[in-house]
Amino acid sequence: MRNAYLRSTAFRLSVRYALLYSVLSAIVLVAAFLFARGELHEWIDDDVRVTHVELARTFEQGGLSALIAEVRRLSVAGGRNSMIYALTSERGDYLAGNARGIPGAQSTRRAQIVDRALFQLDGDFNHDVTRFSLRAKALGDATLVVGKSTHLLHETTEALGGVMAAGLLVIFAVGLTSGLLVGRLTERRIDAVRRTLAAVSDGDLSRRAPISRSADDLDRVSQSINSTLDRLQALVDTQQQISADIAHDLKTPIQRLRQRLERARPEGARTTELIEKCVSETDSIIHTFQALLRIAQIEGGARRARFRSMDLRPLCDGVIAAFEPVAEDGGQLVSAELTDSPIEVEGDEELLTQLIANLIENAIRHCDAGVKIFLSLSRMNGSVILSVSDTGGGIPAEERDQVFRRLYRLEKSRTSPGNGLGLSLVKAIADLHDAEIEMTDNRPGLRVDVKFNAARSSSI
Amino acid sequence: MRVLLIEDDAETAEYIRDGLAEAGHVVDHATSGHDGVVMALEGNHEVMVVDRMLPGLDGLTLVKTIRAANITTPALFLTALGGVDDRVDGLDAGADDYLIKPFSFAELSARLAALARRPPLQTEETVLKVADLEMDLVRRVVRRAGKIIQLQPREFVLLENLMRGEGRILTRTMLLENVWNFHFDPSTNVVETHISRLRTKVDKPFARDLIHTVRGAGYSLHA
Repeated sequence: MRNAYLRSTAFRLSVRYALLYSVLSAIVLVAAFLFARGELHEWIDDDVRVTHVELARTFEQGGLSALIAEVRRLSVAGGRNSMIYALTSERGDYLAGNARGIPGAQSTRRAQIVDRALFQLDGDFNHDVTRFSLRAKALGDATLVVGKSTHLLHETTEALGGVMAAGLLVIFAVGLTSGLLVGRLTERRIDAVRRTLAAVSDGDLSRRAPISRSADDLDRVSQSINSTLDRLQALVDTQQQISADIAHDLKTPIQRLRQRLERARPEGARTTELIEKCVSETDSIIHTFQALLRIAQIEGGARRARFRSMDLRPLCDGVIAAFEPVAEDGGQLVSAELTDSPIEVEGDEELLTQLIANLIENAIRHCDAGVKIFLSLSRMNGSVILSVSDTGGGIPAEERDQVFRRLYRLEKSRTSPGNGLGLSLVKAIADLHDAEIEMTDNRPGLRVDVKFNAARSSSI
Repeated sequence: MRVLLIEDDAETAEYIRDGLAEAGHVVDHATSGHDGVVMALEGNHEVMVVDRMLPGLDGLTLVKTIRAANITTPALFLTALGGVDDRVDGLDAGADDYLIKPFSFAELSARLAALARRPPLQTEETVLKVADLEMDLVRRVVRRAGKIIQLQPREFVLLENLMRGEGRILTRTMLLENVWNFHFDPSTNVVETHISRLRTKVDKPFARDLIHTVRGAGYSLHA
């Protein structure tokens, strides 16, 4: 059951979509995160560049002394704005600013992130200011380094990243759980339909697929199935009623016909002979009738309540003992190969005996003299296989399925006695026992395998 | 013998009653299940024939009822054609034999005779004897006129059935049921073939035949 659910379409689809949505969400969120971080970084760098441009204008208008004065002025408020300044001479002397000894400051033409711990800061900087994004610019012989703290960037990306990761987790969890739930519900509904159909194929035509209130696609399928079943049941009921009516209407007349014929007191030898022929003809009608009714009852599931576990070997022995002389009189040879250990199946002894007998008789009646008929019992993968093979003429492949049809007779056997019900009975008995019948070419001849499943499963 | 017939169909009842009367038996006839129980409880019949379908009280309940009242009269159950479960149901209820309608009178008569003369269990014989034919059931040896006859296991059972029913008719169906446990009609002549084999061994080497064919009925073993 559990494994069946894991293999179900509903489960696989829900997991697949949950994964797909999670991956897509992850891509969108990561892209948004990267974009936001890039924009923030740009914004910080813009501040640095604007400051550079303004200070360059000061330098152009007032020369180095004016620049030094402006940098000093700015440096005082630097801590509040989280800005750093460093003006150095050509020889490397520190001229003005609030950050001394910035490593590699001269070469920093492009924006670069430098850690606070690597240089000395003057002024009132916040604790969470740890890194700066800075650029260097040559103004005359001097070099001006301007930087801005990136703590805003870090704090914003940290918060954003946390929120996004949490969101992603929530999306994945909710997606997977709801997917599984929807899958489970769908699977349950599909399973209910499947169980209905299994029960129907087991013979319970009164079962119907459940219909929910939502009137969705599954409900429409269930409705179609149900209306098909309604029609099927109506047909079967009509057919059974007709059969029952025929059986009921014929039973008594046949019975009376036989009784009256037997009681008729004939005068001459000719009348006696005629009446005896009538009696024997009536007996063959009764025989066919009996077989048809028996098949119908077996197909209706009669007897299943009486099933018990039994060894097939004594049944086979008994049948072989009964038919061996019959075959021998016809110049045929019947033999059996049974196992040393018991071969047990769940079933009805009387019906299983008839199944084996009918298969052996079928071989005897349809084969010529000199043919060998072989009965064997074996186990394969926990199943029991009862097999009857002969070296006779066989049955053409295209006719093999039809021989189980009621009253079907192969063209070549139309003239021989028998009512064409022996194999139908075999099929009905096998079906009752959930056994499969397979007919194969014995090269030469016919091989019939009856495969009894090891554990008669009640679920299907 | 005195037979109790419980059957509601007038024509079938007449058929059985006339046949049995002709053979010298006395028949008491009940047409409903309730009447049947009352008559069966008198307990003065050697055998009874009970139809499965009866107005009022059906055959199964009837047999169960009289068995519960300790009436041990052997009962033959008449079942409808195609009744797959009827035989087992009938035997479970306490019937001793069954017959599917329609049947030949010879079949019914042979079965009733077998039921009525069923030997009491305590006097189980160990040696069966018919004329010069002897069967030792313990040593499983058969002799005729002192000479040992070798038989296959099923031939032994078949001969045992015939000897136990000495002088009575055993029908083909009775033999199929008793010897081979076949509760269906095979389409090959199983019984005829085995009887013929048995005859070759038991009768052929000797002057007088013991196994007789009764035309339209079955077989009988007698001197």
